[in-house]
Amino acid sequence: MKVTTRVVLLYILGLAVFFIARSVFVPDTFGELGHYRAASIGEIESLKTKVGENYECFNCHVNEYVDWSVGEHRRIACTSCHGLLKAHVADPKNHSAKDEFLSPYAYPTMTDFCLSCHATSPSKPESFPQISVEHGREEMWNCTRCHNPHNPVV
Amino acid sequence: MNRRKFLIASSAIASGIIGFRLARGEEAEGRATGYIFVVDVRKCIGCGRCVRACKIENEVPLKPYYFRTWVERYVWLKGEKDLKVDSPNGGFDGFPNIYSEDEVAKSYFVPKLCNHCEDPPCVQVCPVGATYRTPDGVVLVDEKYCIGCRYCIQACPYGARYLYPRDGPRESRRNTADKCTWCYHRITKGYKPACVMACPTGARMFGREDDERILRVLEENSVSVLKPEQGTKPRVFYIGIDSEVR
Repeated sequence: MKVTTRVVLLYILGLAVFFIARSVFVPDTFGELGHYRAASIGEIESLKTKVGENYECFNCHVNEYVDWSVGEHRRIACTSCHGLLKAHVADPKNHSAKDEFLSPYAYPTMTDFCLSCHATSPSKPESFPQISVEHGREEMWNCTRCHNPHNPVV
Repeated sequence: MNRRKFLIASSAIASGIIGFRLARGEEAEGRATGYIFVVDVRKCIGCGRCVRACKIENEVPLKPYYFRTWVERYVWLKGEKDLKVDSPNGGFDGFPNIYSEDEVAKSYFVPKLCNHCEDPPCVQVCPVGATYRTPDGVVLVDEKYCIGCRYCIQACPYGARYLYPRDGPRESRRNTADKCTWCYHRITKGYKPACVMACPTGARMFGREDDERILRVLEENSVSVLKPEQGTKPRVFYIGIDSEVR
């Protein structure tokens, strides 16, 4: 009889140790939605966005908006050529509009930037406007001398 | 209580618990899948804007070999049976024109990203439950809980995952698995993923499953997924690819 009581006590003690250890090691919200930490979804959701939206630019750059909205480039987002510029939007006076990765400043020259889309390549769709090597040679290879980037048709 | 009764009672309780768990699991699987991503390779020009925008938005190391999304060039040369695939720096700097117009039979660019599979192998193999599929159908990595064992990187048939390097810009993510989240922090706020925003030709489309615009694209075009034989049920649909694209 005494042995049975001891076994039962030992068993309960074992269970207690297990559940205490479990509550310590298993993080909060684990298993709420599945075999993962549900709070992680909120953590990833709360990361800051960096790529800006068009309307943020048009608050100030009205002339560019007018050009862009009727031009061939009207379906291209501002950020696609000008970069993220979140700092510029937040504080336009102290942050210049130069992005080192998504803008002409990421390429050696303005022309290289234009060619990053418009260079001729057999892999590109045929309907996409691609320029030949000879085009504009005499213009010192500066596309913007003739084309307005916001409304590029001459 | 004799031994027989004990066994019957305990097995009844155990089967009850298992049955309850299974029923709950089915309920979880039956939830809406949420989002759809469509890639139209007929529009892609291989400019690399998406790769750049993704790297900045998601703090992906700017060095080569680390990509959440990248672009591949598929080339079929005339008179050659095998196709050629290349992806210099993931398309970050664009694609140098190494093939002449005359020798190319067919060629196009294929943007790649995580397929956010309905049946993701990466989630199955994770030993600690650090990678998971959210109720709205996005496969994410819990950077606090990942132990960096690389099982998921091995398991992904699409090579969409990489190990965040120990000198990466985001400290809390170092030495953990990282992958495309469809910019989860943007789409839950109503914005589009960074690569979709940056794409100048509209080759990438993204929307909720009930978005009529995206449903029309799926209806009007013949779409396919990458590696359908893997049974992963990808949620990234491609328009205009051949079966050789994998």
